[in-house]
Amino acid sequence: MRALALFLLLAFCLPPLPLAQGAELLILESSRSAVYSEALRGFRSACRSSEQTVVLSDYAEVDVQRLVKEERPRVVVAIGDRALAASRKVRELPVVAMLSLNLGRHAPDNIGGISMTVAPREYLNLFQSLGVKRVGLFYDPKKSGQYVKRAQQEARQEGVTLLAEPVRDPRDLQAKLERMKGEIDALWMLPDATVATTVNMEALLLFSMTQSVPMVTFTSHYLKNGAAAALDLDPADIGVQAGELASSLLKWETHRVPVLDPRKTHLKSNESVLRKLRLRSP
Amino acid sequence: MRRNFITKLLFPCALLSAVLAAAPALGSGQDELSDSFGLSDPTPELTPFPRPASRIAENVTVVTAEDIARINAHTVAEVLQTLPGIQMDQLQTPGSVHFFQVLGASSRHILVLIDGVAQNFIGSENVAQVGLIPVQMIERIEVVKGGASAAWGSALGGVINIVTKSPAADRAGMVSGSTGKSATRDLRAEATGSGERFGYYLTAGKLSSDGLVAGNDTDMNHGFGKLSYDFPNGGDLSLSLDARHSMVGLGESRQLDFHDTGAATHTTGNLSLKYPLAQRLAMEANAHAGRREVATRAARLTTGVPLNNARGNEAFRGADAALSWGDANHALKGGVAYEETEVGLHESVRRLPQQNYELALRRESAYLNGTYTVGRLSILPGVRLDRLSLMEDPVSYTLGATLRLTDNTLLRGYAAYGYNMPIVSNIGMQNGEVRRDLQHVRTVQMGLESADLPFVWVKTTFFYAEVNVQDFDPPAPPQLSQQVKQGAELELKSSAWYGFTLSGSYNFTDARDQKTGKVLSALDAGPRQALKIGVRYDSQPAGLSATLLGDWAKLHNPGPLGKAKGEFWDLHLTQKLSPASDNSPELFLSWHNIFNSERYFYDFRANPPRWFEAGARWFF
Repeated sequence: MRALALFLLLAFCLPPLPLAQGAELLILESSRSAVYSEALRGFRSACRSSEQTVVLSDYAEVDVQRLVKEERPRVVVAIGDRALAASRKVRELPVVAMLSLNLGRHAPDNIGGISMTVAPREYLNLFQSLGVKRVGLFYDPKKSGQYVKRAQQEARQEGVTLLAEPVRDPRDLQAKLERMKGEIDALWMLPDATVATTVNMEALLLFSMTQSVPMVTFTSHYLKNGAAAALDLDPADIGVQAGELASSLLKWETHRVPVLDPRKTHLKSNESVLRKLRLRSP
Repeated sequence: MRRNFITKLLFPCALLSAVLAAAPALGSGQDELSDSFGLSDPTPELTPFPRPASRIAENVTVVTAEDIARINAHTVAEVLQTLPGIQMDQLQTPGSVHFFQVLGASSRHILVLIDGVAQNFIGSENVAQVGLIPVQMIERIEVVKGGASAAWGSALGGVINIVTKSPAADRAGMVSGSTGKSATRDLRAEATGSGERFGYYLTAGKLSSDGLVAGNDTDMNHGFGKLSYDFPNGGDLSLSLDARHSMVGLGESRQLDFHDTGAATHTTGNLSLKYPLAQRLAMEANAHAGRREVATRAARLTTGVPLNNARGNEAFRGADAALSWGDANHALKGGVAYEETEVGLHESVRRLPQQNYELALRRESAYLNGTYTVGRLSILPGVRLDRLSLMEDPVSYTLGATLRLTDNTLLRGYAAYGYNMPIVSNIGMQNGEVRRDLQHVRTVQMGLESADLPFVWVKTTFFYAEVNVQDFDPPAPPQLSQQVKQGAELELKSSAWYGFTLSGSYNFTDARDQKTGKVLSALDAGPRQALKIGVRYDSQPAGLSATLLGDWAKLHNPGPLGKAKGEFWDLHLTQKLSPASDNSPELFLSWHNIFNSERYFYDFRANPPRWFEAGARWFF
């Protein structure tokens, strides 16, 4: 035991020169999906720090609090909803999330990142280019209340009338949709999980076709089903944006992480639907 | 025998299968959105690996609030019983008093902490009553198995570190109620939320029972509150108050003509600060104070003549401060601590001097722990100096190392020299005088953890410990006994396959008196062999979780009143009523000791026979 004590003293006196550096970033990737990989490539191009990456879908369970305690990173990066959910108990470090649909909901100051909802102004510009003035919108106040409030303020400035109907239960949508008949020139779909159930999406698309009201959505996935236009996100650019945010957090050592709008979008449209509705192509 | 055992298993398996078959498959808006963005992230039918490998030198097991909720546990004792290497003497009615062992070390030598505050009742054999700690306030439990004095002080056999919940970002709450055999009821409520900087977490509850075995009625009222303030730079300050009062039947025997009852009160206030000072440099500080009281009363069952009437109390206060610097590969943590405890014990029937005393204990400590990594090798030294009033001043040290064979396979080991304070109570004292000499441990552990094998995570640990501990078996005076405890632990966990996960652990402990070579009784060293098995099923779309737990142990020489062998099987089910909703109400039920087995040290503190409970949780 004396030898052990001596060795212990020597161990504390070890020169720090040849030591390996710990990772600055702990990257949690929800799965090996191609979209996440694309975003991660973008992230790495903008933030060249040492990292430890864990793909959550490779494991049946991952204790992120234990990982943070052991890896001692300076910033946690969460890619996808599973990674964001796993990071919610991290309080001592900034968490930068991307490609997470639940970002912004119940988020403390240290959790932010790039949201999945394009800034309202970009949608309003699209409505203006389509030539529509009255726009119907369904949303869950708990999930999208703040976004809709912001959209209403900006719509007033742009001269667009927004008919925003709160939906607290997915089953309430059908009745509220009936009341919109003849009241709107376009339908705006938000990525709101209460509203956008499979059944509701079919009802909204049917409404769009039967009432000749163009539907503008958050992804081109619905164009083939009858939506008129969509603002697609760019996963690689979301990665770059998140990388820049992580770099600034590492540089300035702030703990508060903002939630930013994605800055790059791709406008896609369904020409046949636009022609049928006699709308000009945006 | 084997056929009988398999037949016994058929019924719970059939019940589990029936429930699973009835579970509906449901979808949600979240799935629709994920699909539309191309982010569809379905849980694979078979995950490649169970969990990532840890990178620490000690043998540590972690339990989270989710793990606790899925077994519908009431107290920490029920949670610990499910973990590899930990053995409760026997689980009784929820809210009872328990002794336990961790890798052969007695609960007298295990330090139990809640948010850094020791829960061990110095005047009551230094045992922390984990059966009197409710689980609702717990975020996670970290169990360090093996001597840990260099980091924690008086922790000869290990540490159970309980971390409480922090305020949630948004307002939330929960109400829960359950009822079972012998009017065993557990009512709980929880509320949490945060403003711009301030947050709160509050919980309160009542756990009571008429007793699942004779003379084992329980009644526990508990409350816990935490207020926190988040600094803009990521630091936080929190103030918590933990208050618990329990009345419990300790045992009853018509054969021995006695009954024993007890009451315990715990009150702790804790102020805690975590503050980052610079890049990778943070300060942690803590100040706490509180009071613990315990009363026990034993009397003849037939005549009511008192046998024992003792009251113990402890007033404690302390503070510690530490600086930690570095990253995963290169780190130092150093700190100082101060603890003061006033202990009093009064017994009015026999009035023995060792049961009637007042004394004050003081401890001043300084410690330093580090991590140095060169390539794949990390060296983890640690040293701690304690200055104790009334006792010798111990120096504890440890030297650990981890070698990363691959990214997910780790070879670990450590050697340590540590101590435990002498037992300050009737069985550990002579004529009311505290022993000056401490209990010591020299220990070596080695192990391998790997998550590289497909579909299975494996962790093995070999341990060897020479301990010099107080032995209570021989007649007075109590003396230090040299013992050797060595053995192995194997843990396995499978990947999830169609929602099913298997886990298992096997422990072998050989504990002997070093001089005579005599094998120690299970009372001193826990079971020689223990096997724990778990089958979990989870279906998120159906909102169903099911857990079947098996626990077999062979106790060496438990005494004439004990039952040496027996296996316990418990089944726990939880069903969300609205699986797609984050705040769905849940129904849960637990079926304990399905096969009515018996395994205990004393028949007057026997384990309960088969019993059942059911309840519901509402979230808002």
